[in-house]
Amino acid sequence: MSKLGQAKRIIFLKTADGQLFEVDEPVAMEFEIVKSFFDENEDAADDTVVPLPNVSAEPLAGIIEFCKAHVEFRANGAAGKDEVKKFNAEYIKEKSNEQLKELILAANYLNIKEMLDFLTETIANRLKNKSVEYVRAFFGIENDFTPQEEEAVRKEYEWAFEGVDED
Amino acid sequence: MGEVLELPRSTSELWKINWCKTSWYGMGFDCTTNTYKIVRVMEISHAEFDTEVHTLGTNSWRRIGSNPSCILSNCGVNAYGDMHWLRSNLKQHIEYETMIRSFDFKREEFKWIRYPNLKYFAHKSCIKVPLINLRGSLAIVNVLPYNEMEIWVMKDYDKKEYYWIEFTILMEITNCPSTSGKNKQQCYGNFPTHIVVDIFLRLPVKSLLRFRCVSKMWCSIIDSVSFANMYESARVEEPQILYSPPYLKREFKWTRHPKLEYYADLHKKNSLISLRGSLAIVSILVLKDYEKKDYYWYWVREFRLNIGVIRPDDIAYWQSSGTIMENFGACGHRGLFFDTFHHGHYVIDLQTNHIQHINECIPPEDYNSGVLDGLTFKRIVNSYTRSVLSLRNFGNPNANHGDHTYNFLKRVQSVYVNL
Repeated sequence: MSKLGQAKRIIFLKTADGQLFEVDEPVAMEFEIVKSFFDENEDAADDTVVPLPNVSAEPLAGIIEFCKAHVEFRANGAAGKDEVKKFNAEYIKEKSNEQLKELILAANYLNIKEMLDFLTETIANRLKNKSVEYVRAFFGIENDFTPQEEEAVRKEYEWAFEGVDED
Repeated sequence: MGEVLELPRSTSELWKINWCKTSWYGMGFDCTTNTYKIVRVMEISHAEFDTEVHTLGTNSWRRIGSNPSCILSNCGVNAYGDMHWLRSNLKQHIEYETMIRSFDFKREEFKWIRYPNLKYFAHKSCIKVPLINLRGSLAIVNVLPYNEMEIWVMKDYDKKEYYWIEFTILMEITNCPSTSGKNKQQCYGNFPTHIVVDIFLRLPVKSLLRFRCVSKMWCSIIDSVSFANMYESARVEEPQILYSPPYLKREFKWTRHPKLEYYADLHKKNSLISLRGSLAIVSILVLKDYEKKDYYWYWVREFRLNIGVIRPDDIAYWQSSGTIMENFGACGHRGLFFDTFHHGHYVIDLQTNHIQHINECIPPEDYNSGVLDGLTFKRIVNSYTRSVLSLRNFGNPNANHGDHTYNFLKRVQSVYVNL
């Protein structure tokens, strides 16, 4: 580690679209991929820039915001309390489905367990009362059933199609 | 080549008497003395073990003090000269630190090896896969329900910290011919498959049944036995009393219950009921509507195996006694049941509707004759053993209950040996 002693270490991250982020070490270490980068390159210089070729700037900024808040919660002993729930709810409220997808893909690449859990839970909640068509559009899945086949699969559990939200 | 070595007979009284008990054997190499050794462990009684070591070239077994202190999986694997087993009496979640039991032939003692942090699915369904020796290293194969396979290989055995490296292999999709030619993107969109399955695990049953319509691939995942296993493990907060073997799950179908004629006890996690004259199991796993806390939905898994109708007088018997049947294990048309009210064990034959009380003994010839051959019966007993173990872990308030069950198990085991 740095010989500068008490000075706060900054980790440099470079996104796919070429933006440079300066992140406090404890926050960057939330990203498993960054952590293992430094574990494997123990003698990496302090100003090493970690390339993140699968993440662009927008989701990364969102992820840093989330992890920073959660690192602070843990430091304050607030983990698991209402304060955290409130933050999470606020954090996700304004996010569109597209943003949510970008976030989860980035969090998956960076391998941040806590955030992944939170995002999968959020997506499951958003989708659970939605129609089949909505879900297909969400994931970008092509329907490979013929209309007859789809009808047959649908018939098996017809009651599961009751009470579905409007798209 | 082709040399056969006969192992010496044990001199220990324990081994002479209990030769029919469950035992495990493993062979390894001690590089400090350049000798091959064989270790064997026997479960003398519940959670009590006896371990002996034989060094090749000598003519005796030596009893050693170290023992596995847990039930081991059937197939051990040798790597680095030592033997490794997965523990098999698992609780709901993986206990990473105590997942792999290994026997060190140099020190002649058992030790624990840490399990790798699988990306997800930290519950029991992913531990049914055996350990393997991959090019000399200890490895774990984790077969995921969406036709992917993770292989974790131990990187450094000698370091105290065990490192695992991971490979992911996409398997050819065999159970879903219509999608095999297509690329992954069309099946899952641009989402990594493990995220999609992770989302599935957080959805209610109703949504999943609806989303079977999304694509053929989704349908095949949701219908798969391995997904059903994962879903159950992921959804239940407490250990399940009932253990239904996966080979039976294929025969189950989820239905929303129209009208229960009789439900045993909704506080029980799983209850046997009679539904429209046939046998069914209520699983409280999905009984609860998570949103409306005060309201319950009844979900029933209907028996599709040779549906038999229990005679009305039998139903009356079960109803009048307030019986709750637990610990169900079945094979073919026969089911093995434990009646918590009478503390009795029964075999119900769904073809003849015959209910046989088997508290005292099981006539071995009965099992030799019918559909149940030795192997299937062993499976029944195995599934039964597991459910009883989980019941014991569950901390049943009735202390006698556990002993009683355990005695029964011993009988069942001995009957099996006689077959």
